[in-house]
Amino acid sequence: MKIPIKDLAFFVLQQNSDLTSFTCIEPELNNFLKEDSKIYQKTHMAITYLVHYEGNVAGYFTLVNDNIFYEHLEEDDRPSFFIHKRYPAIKIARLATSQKYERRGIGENMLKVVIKLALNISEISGCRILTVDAKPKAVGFYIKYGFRKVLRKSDDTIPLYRDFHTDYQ
Amino acid sequence: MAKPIELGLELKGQDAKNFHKYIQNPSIYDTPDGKRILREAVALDSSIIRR
Repeated sequence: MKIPIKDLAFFVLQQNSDLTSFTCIEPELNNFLKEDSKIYQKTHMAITYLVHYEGNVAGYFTLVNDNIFYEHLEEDDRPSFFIHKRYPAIKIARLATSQKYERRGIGENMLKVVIKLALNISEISGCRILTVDAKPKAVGFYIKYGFRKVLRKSDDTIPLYRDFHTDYQ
Repeated sequence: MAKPIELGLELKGQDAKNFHKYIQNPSIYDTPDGKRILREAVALDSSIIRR
């Protein structure tokens, strides 16, 4: 059964946050949260958010400023205000759901909050793209929500991106 | 220590062409769930994040 977003509590990670209740299927994502996230937080190099449900950490995501660079194209006919080859972006550096709450909509709710935060940030500092380096198993999740997959393969992750400023109201 | 966070997505060749087409009109590439989540995100109260 899906958990509605109103039943979830979203917190900014604190140095005294208790992370012991979180375990997901990707060891790398467990290690990041438990060993590195507080260092990134303290140094303002990446900001992690926790999702609480039933007193447990049900998920987390980490955001950082990013950019997309793309090489010049001969057929480039962009209007002059789009001549920049770098697009400011926000990267979902990590996003993981606790094994205990998989398939209950936590991932979608986290992505929704990520988009809300990105929209708010873009009112202060220009950005319009979300990027993510997804584990192969998670690529389908992002494609479902309109992310575009990059053909080039990196080590063990697949880069994806999506615009978050299209108005569907 | 986990793998460090890497920044900057560099697109070349076909990836650059794909992005070029995409960014001119992202909505035609969007999915029904992508459109829905964007609408729902806009409607969220910013106070949903606590400190």
